[in-house]
Parts: sequence; C-alpha cells; structure tokens
Amino acid sequence: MKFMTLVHETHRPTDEPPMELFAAIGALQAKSTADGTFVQAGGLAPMAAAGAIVSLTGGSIGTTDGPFVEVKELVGGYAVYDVADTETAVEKARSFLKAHLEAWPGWEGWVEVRAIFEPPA
Amino acid sequence: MVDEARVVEQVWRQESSRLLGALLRVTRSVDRAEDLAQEALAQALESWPRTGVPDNPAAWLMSTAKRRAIDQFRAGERQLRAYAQVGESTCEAYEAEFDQALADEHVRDDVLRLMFTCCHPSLTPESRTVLTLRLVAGLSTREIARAFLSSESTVASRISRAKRTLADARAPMDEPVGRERVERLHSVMAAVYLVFNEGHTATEGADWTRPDLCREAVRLAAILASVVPGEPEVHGLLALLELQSSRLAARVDEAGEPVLLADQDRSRWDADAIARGAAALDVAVRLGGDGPYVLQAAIAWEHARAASVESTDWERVAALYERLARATNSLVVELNRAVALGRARGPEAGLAVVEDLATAPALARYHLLPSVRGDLLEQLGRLEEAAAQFDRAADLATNDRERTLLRARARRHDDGG
Repeated sequence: MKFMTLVHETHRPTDEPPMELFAAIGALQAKSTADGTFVQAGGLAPMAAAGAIVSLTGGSIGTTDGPFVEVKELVGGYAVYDVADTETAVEKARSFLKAHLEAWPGWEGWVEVRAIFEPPA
Repeated sequence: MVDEARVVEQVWRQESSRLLGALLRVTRSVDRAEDLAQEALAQALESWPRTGVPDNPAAWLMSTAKRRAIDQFRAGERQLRAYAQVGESTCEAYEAEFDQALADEHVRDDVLRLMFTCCHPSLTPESRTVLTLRLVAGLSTREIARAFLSSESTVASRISRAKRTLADARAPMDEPVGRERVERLHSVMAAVYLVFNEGHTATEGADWTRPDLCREAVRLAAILASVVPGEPEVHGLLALLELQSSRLAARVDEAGEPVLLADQDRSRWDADAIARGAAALDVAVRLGGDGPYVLQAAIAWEHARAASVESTDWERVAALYERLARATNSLVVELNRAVALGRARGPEAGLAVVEDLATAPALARYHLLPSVRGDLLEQLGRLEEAAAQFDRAADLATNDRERTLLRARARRHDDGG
C-alpha cells in the first residue's frame, strides 16, 4: 500500500534548517531505502515563492496566488512510502517529526498521511 | 510452507547485518558470530512454519542465538577458550553482554563495525566485496557465486580464507577513530561501489548487466548511509547508485544487447529511483559534500533530469568531470570528460583530450579509449580511422555483448556507408 506524507510547517525558528536535520532526514530515507519501503521524496518550494491555490466555490473558479495565501502554514516537502498498513506509514511520519524535534529545536508542524488509491490487483 | 520460507528469507535479508553485528560484538569472532546466526536462521526455518512468524523476528533470532551460545558455553567452556576473548569471561558476563546486545541503541555501531570488519585492510578488494555481500547483505554462497559467475566452492573458499585472514590479523573489532576511520569508511564505500560496478557492466560473460547485484549494492549503500548519516560522501554514493540503476531497464534491449545512452527510451528510466537518488543527492549537497561520489552523483543527475542527449547540459557535465578529475587524478575520468567536451564543444575538442590520453600506459589496454576515439572520429567523418579504433576496442573488450557491439560499429562503414 502506498502512502504519501505531506509535511506542513507552522513555525520555522530559523531561515535555514540546520545541517544536523539533513543528516537525520538522510538517515531516515536511507533506512527506508534499505528495507525497501521508500518510493520517493522531494522538497516543495514555499507557496509564496512559486505556488497557488486554485479553488471552485460558488460556481466560480478562482486562483489565489502566493502572497495571499495563509503563510503560517505551508507544505515543506513530501515523501511516498510503500508499507503494509496505515500504522507503519504513521510511524514513518512520527520518525520524521522526531528528527525535527531533535535537530531543529523550535520547529513546529504536522504531517498529513494519505493512502494512495491503487487499482485492484 | 513456501510462504514461511520466503518470510524467513526476507527477515534474514533485512535483519542479518544487525544480528551479525551484535553477535560479532559479543563473541568478537566473525566465525563464531556467523555460526550462531546461521543456527538461529535454521531454527527459524524449522519453527516459523509451525508457530507463525513472531512479532519481532529480529529479537526472536537474537534470543535464539543467545540461547545457543549460552548452551555451548555451559557445555564446553574449555572448548570455547579457543576463542580467547570469550574464554576470559564468565558465563554470567557473557549472558549479560547478549542482553545488552539486544538493546536497540547499539544497532548503528554494530552494523558499522560489521562493515568495517568486512573491509579490513588485510583483505583484498575482491574478498571485501564477497565478505560484505555475505555478512552485511546476507547473501548465500550460491547467490554470490551466481552474481560473480564463479563456482560455489570458489566463493566458499574465498570466504573462509578471508575469515582466516581476519583471525590471523587479529583484526580489532573496535570501531577505528580519526584518520583510520576515514580510510576504512572509504574502503567500505569502495567495496559497495565495486559490487555495483560488477552489476552495471559485467566484466565477463554473456550478460551485459546484472540488475540483482545493482539492487544489493543500492541496499548496502542505504544501510551505510543510515548508520553514518553525517558523512556527505555516503549519501553521494547512495545517490549515485540510485541514479545509475534507474537506467538499468533501458540499457539492454529485448535480446539482451546493450542500448547506448543516445538510443535509450527515457520513459523506461525508473522515476522512483531517480527521485530517491535526487533526494539523497540533496542531502549530500546540503551537508556540504563535494567529494568524488557526490560529483559522480551530480553528473548522473544531469543525465537523469535531461529530456534527451541533445538537451543535456554538457558544459556542466564537463565542468563536473573536471572537478572530479582533480579530486581523483583518474585518467578514466579524463576520458569521460573528453566525451562530455565533445558533446559540449564539438568532436575536435573531445579528440584533443583523447589524443593526450592515448599515450598513457595505464590506459593502453582499456577498451573504452579506442571506443571513444572511434566515436569522435566518426563524428568528424574520418570513417576509416574510426573503424580501426572500434576494431581495436573490440579486441580489448572482455564482455561478449560489448565486443559484438563494437565489431558492428567497426563494420558499419565498410561499404562506404
């Protein structure tokens, strides 16, 4: 079962994450590669830099571009895992947040864990 | 009970490095650790089909190994004194060490120590790769033999010779520090890189690539990166291997013939492997990496992200090769730079570099030198000279598929075509 985890950041204590965080994230990625559960990952540019929300409300399609978006919450990156069940995917997300807790004090955010629909075998 | 057997095999693949690493720390003998691990594995194959797979298979294997070790300790303390380190301790102390080995926090150190032991300087590079595949990747002698197109008995004797060398050298099982640690880490990376290279372009035999071996190398690089997360070169190595293996399916056609970069169907490149490679490269660069593996991964990334050979940023590739040549002093790297330069600035620019290299004794029997030379001459329309170079390359090639390809390239212009 494939899951996508989306990282939402609500507070960034420093402009750039510390190097230790990349080492910690690298270790988590590598561990998942070694046990075959890591499918892919990537960083996402802040909404304000290059991004938009396209919405349909009240019969009209509207685009809200970067600067007008709620900047206190942005998606920082994503990863896709292939694991047995939701609990395992949640465990991956917890490890990811734990890495932030230890390597980037003051950072706050949350991870959205979503199963990816797959065609029946 | 085929399924349980497969589960046991899967668990073994994932957990053997951790199990062996912990056993190595307690017993301080590769032989002893491997015997105990194999006995635990045999027990699992026997029990799990009846009892089902335990919730924590790794812990199950570890406590089984512990029970065997304690039994043997009690049964023949004198016999065990042959293993000097074990003989010095009491049974209680021995038991306590096992309990401690079961604790999670040692996993990283144990696996790293196991990798360092497999790549001890007293061993030849070939023995290091074989021992790493056996003890860290958990491959059987048969699987290793198949991978290296060698007989099981050859591999088995190489493994036992390597273990004897380690015992004779009294290889210290402690993690090296400082400069020695850096050197040992490089020899571990080199062993993983060698495993991958053998799968990427087989040195001998009928198949051009061995994808299984590449996958094992990626897994080994990933294990290493997870235990040494602060070292950018390790993430660079992982990135390199992921990016290079993304092209494996496209590098051979249905008949098993090699397909060169320009002719590869890029839609067959493995997008997931590219994404994992990019993620690992990102980590390496953010950690400040600019060593040989990181540079090679950066080159592989330039190819992976390009839509075609023509739209590849060859100037950047050539510049990366130049940095790599400075870092490694390798003539093979210079040859690759010649190819990139040929693409970026025209065949003459590439040929100038190749002509310089042609006099180097180190490359005198390297089949890719005349191959590159032939390719550049062909682009310049000097077809007869090109054909002679391709023939020369075919004479030097050791892989059957490659030799056929080079002969065909040489013959292409025979009819004035």
